[in-house]
Amino acid sequence: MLFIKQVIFVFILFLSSSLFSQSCDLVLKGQVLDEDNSQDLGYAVVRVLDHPTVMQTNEKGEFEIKDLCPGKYRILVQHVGCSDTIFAITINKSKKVVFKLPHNLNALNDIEIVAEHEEIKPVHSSHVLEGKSLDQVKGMNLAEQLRQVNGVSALSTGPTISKPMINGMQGYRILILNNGIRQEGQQWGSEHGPEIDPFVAQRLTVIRGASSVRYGSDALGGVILVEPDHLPDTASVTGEFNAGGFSNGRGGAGSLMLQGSFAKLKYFSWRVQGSLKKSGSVKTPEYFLNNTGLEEQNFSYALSYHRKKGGVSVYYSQVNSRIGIFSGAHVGNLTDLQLAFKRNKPADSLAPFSYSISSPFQQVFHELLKVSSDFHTGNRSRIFVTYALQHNKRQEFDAHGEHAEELTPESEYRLTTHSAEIFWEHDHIRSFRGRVGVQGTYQENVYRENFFIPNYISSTTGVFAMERFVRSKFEAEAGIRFDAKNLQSFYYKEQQLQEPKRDFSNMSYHAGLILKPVNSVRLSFNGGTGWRAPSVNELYSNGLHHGVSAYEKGNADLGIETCWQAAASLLFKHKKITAEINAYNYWFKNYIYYVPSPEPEVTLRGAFPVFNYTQNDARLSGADVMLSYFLLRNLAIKGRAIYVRGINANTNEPLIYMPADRYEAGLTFTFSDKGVFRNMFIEPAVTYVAKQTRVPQDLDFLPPPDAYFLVGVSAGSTIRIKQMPLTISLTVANLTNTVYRDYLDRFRYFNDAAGTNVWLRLKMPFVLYDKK
Amino acid sequence: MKILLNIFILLIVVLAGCQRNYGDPRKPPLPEEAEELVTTFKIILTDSVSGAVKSYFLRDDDGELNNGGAYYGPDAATQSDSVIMLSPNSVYYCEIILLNETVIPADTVSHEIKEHADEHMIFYAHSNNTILKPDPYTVQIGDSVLVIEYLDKDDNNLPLGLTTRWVTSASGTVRPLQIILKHQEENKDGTFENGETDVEVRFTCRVD
Repeated sequence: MLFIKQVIFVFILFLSSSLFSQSCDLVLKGQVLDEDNSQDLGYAVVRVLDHPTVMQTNEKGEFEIKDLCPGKYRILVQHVGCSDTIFAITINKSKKVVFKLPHNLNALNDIEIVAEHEEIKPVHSSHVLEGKSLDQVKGMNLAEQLRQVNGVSALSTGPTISKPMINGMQGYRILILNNGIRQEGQQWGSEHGPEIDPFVAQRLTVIRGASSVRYGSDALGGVILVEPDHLPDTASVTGEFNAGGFSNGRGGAGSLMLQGSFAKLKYFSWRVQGSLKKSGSVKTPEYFLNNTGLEEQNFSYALSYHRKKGGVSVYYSQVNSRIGIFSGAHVGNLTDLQLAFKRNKPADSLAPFSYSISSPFQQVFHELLKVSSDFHTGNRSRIFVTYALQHNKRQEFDAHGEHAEELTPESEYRLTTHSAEIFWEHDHIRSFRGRVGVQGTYQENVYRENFFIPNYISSTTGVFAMERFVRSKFEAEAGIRFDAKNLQSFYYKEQQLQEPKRDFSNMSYHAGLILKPVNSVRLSFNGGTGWRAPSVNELYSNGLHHGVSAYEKGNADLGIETCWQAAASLLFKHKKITAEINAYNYWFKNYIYYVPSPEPEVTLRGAFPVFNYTQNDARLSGADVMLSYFLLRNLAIKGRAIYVRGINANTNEPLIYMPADRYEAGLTFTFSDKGVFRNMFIEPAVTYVAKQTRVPQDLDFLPPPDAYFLVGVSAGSTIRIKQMPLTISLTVANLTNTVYRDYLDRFRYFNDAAGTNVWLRLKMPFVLYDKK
Repeated sequence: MKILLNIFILLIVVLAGCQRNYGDPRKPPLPEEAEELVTTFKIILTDSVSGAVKSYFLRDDDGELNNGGAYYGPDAATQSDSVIMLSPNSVYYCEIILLNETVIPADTVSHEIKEHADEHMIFYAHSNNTILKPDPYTVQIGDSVLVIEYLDKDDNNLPLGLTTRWVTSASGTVRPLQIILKHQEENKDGTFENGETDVEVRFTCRVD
């Protein structure tokens, strides 16, 4: 009950006017220099950790960070030619600093490397979404947020559900690490979005390419890291308030976070955070989509005890969401489906706006408890031990089933996952950084009501080791991993209990090289292998999918899917230009996918198309390009293009659901500060998505939709209110209210995509109490 | 130290709060008998002159898509009874009966359809591409070989289709006959396009 008292106490504090006694208007000016020759390092990235500020130095290597509250900060400085370095500074009044970046971390002596663990940045191309660019998408679901990142697309099921897609892969082929823990949700359907609070992340990192060795053999397409801030370590109580309202769906989303460190209890720090989201029917340019409301309630808290030589922390998060599924997309058999395709406007298109969510809908619950500890085993090495428990409950309520009028779901799945990890990591010992470790998971799935996938018990074990050799002009990395998985399923077939057991195991390898011939160029190459065991639905599913009337049948004879990947990327940063090119290729052996069976299944409810799982060799390749250029000091132009190709090597037909070619271009105008207005910007942008012409024959219900062109704009500023920075931003998506359908939307068979949406967002960090 | 103790207690509470009974995966649910399942679709034809009764059915033992789907009865092996034999220039009275035979005694689902007549309609056609907005009470199969007339209506005076009159003319024609029960909860207006399909069966009609 102490906890509740604390919360009440904090709220009282929040309401009291003494709140604004702290001044958060300190300015940190600085310059980034090359440690060896004291040359200015222009266009270096300066990132204040645990803070939204991310900026670039000017051509002289100078930067200016405004609106800092007094306290201790960690500042990460990155420059193409140098090693990423973190500088720790304490700021009580505005001041000026000089950061010297080493080429080689062995040379460092006068720089304090902070206690917090920083991930060794992989050789793969990785992208971070944080600061202003994350603020502009706050409150949207995870996949929509990640669409800002090069090479990431989203596979959606109507306007309320979407899954991230990296390098043309989604679902089982990519991993999401929520606060360092592999997200274990019900991943077996395209209508199952990741169960993650859209406000919890302060930083979203996308690592593209097969990252099997480090994160798990099945991280074939890539990995998404969802990271909250580090906990504060100075005695204080601070917080952040986020609120957003959006026109399409007439929805709202908001979050409140409080964190602090106790003055009396040194080394302890804490955080509580909660968020709410609610919206109603989404509107396409011509009609409302009935029953597309959404309700979400999420919260998390963390408590940590941390000393220089090690510590323990506990983190808990809970996600509750109720997601309406467009009623006009809910169809019976093949005849209904064909009728739905023939309609110009979907059934139910006359329905008015409503917040109510009725069948069909999904109710999803996810909780994560993480206990982690780390301790020093020397000056530059540490052991990390982590245990996590996840519960996931997913209920699907159907419109016409036997339970339609009751409050019983048509189907329910309960997934429990225990995972544990222990690894040893060393930093910069004789130019080597590396990690060795063991991971294990134990998982149980239990279903209720209708059968789609069986009950199962699965366990996995992984052992891995990787080393990175770091020099000023190049870095080399190699890793090796062994994984074993066993899966026992339990289900009835003709009143007989079936208990099939499968064992899978394999090795994964990875090697990578980074070359930095000159300061403005970073070239990276990597190659690796990965594999994944067939998932439970690919093996044993037997039933109809929610929404699209397709009958999915598993194939119990499937074996493991393996892949070899090779990728290259070039990053060029010189004065006003930043350019990045990525290219990758995957060769799959026994790629698992589904094919329609020639005869539909005939039942009393009519005929249903049947899809069977099978495996074949396949190839997947792609490239993307990003270019930005400062036309003027306050005007930048940016463009991106994404291409993905997938080929079934046996039939020479394209793979289904590959993202269409996509082009984006935008301008960023920034304005000098005027009065209380700071950091003003306006960013108009356009997106063109080509028609997907590479599709397999007879695998889809309808041909892909036409190409489309969208216009959007966002603008924002930071306003000082009683010395607190309030950031306001306005984003307009689909400004021209264009009617379009996207190939990667599973509901494109039934309805248009959403029309114009205007988001207004407010964000304010605040200080309730500070020791000084 | 008191705070430390409190924090410790809080931790215990947190950990205990995570205990959830999600059930034993080793004991999956037995395939249950659903309540509103339709396992059997029966057509009962009575000759208006002789009073002779013929019946045909399509049956799916568990009403699910598993286990090989549906079969025509009573001879599952040959499925010979999928052909409805009619005499030329005759009048038949037809009754459709829907049963759930997974429960004992069998549940007559067609009674519930009658109760909710304003939400259901049975359509007759020789393929679903030919179902136009029908002259509400007469459906023509083929070239007037078989005329099916609705004999029952709901409260809104719209046809239901559980009882119909079939009138045959010239002989020598074989036509597929599709019978579709639509659930049109809020939008029944006599058209086929609305609502979802509850039952869809296909027979062949032979007049000779």
